[in-house]
Amino acid sequence: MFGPDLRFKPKLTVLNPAQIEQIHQATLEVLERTGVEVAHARALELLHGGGARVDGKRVRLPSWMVERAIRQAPHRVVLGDRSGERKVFLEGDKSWFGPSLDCIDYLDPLTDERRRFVSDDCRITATVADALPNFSWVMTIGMADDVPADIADRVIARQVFQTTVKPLVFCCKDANSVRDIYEMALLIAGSESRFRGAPTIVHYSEPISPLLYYDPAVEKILFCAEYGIPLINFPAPQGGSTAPATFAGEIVQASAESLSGLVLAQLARPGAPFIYGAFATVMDMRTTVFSYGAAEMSLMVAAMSQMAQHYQLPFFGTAGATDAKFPDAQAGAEVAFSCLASALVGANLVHDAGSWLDHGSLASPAFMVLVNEIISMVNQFMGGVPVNGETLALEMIDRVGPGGHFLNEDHTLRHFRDVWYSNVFDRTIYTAWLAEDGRRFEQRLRDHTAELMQHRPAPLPDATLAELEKMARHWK
Amino acid sequence: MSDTLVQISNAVIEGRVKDAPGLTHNALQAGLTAKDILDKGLMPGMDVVGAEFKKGKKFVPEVLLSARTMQASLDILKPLLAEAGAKMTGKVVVGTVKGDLHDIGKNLVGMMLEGSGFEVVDLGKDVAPEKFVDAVKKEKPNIVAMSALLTTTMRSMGHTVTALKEAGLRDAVKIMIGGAPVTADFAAQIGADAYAPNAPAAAELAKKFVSA
Repeated sequence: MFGPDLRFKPKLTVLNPAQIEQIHQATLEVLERTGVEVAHARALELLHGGGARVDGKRVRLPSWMVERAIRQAPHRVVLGDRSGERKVFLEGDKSWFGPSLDCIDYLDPLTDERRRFVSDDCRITATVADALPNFSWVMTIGMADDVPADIADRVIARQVFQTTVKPLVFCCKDANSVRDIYEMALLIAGSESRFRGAPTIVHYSEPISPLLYYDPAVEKILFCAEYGIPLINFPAPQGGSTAPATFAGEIVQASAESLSGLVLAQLARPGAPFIYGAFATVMDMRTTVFSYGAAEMSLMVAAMSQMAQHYQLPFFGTAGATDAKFPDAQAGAEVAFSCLASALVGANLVHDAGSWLDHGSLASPAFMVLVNEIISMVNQFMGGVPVNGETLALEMIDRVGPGGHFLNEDHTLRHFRDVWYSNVFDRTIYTAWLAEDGRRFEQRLRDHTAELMQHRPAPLPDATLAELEKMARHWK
Repeated sequence: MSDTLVQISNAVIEGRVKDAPGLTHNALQAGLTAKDILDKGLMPGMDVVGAEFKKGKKFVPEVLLSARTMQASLDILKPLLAEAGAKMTGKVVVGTVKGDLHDIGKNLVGMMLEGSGFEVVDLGKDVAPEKFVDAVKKEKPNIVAMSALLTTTMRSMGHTVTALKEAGLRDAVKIMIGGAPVTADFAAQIGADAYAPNAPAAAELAKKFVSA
């Protein structure tokens, strides 16, 4: 009577096809008319040779160049874990959540003490990220205030490599740092060919909004293209200050910024793996803060995610961060909203989950645990309503009949675990809750986080650790 | 207070840029001095704007509009103030430090300082320590304000403080710093006078420095 499983993945769109086309044309217009500013000599040569109109540092990209680059880039990028297994498939509308980077401060999950983030905190956050199932990949999460700023980027990258098997998305100061981190990744992968089979690292580079490249960013783009390291070119415009205050205008500018890096990368090496996106949010005009919890951010991320799907380019999304200073009610609301929006629209590589409190300045393992829990809810919802003979259960409905119950049915036994149960959200009956110490949410979150911090990730072989130590001695 | 001055204050509070020149000319014709207009018309207006901002009632673009209104009046008053030997609130040299091209924070600080009656000399971005030194020699500011977004570039702030010391100019200015990775501890560590967490706080700090 019933055919195959008619599963429908819940889907959100915030732009209709006509709007997508209009935003696309406007983006091409910005690149062709206004262009971007690049000072880097080799990049200017490449761009000029590729057909760009170069006038001093101003580079204007004819539309055909941009559209060709969009076609040239791979439509999917697959990332591998430490063992070389292909794990994270950036394609279509699949969403993969991961944390963030560059937090200045660390919030101790057990004491709520706030202090500077140091390199050992990176070990703790990477441990928790390794333990949490909804983090499919990782970032470095914090800065390392205890080591010289010149080498801090590699110190924390090494810390993450040693602590988790998951793919790493990283940011760093220049191409020299990218090379050092790439060499660590090669060492751990075992060979260049194994690395190519399933890249374990993705570099995240930023043009400066509006429409400006500084030389180290350009060099990083060129280096990644040359070595086949997947590259995210990810501007961070703020509506009203470094981008138009209107959502459409900001999306167009952000898209132009990201795509200009795509053009450069494809000129450096056609087919270079590229991940499109922008952290488009608003400047909070009451505080001058760059908001990470704004509903408008989720709206613009969703719109850009649809642009990515239109271009068939993998997308770097943003969700799961908050402007709150603790993993509190505000944090929960902002995270639930942004994560659900991102999953619904089908953003691919969704960063900032659970590691940006206090508008991008503060990391907390407890917040990571909260966000992991929220992503579980989101994933449960995204599973949709499977419809088939088994799930429609007509035979049983008829057999049990009016006034009966389903508690003793085999069908119930087969399916009651389709329901998701939380480790920290409470559904106990009040008297039972009181009898069990009456732990409020904050306390349960703290206790569960403390357990997860005991997780011991798989260590790297001693020989690899020794080699990493040797590499570290040569960092400049 | 005369009606003219109240009108000027209100124009600033309401951000009526176009009305500022006419009101300023009226005030001068009525015999008020440039100094009076600044101290009793423009500044009280901006004080109200600052207070409203603090209460969350006015937003940054509105504060900047008020600052532009004040500037429109000051364009007329500045030559007169100079003639009379009267001074602005003070002078600030601002810049994003060497190696850093992120200037939105610095731009905001500059505009907020102007809105507080300061004369602002903006050195732009990627500003080397020696350029700060040259600007201090040439402009003789009360304050040097530096901005950085990156942990790798915030050290340039320290280098600038050192360069000012070596040039014998350290005590001639107050130094304040800001930017995402910057803290009060860092300010103390490099020998700056203070840290401001955002642009409005920078403007308040600057006012304290010159009134001290």
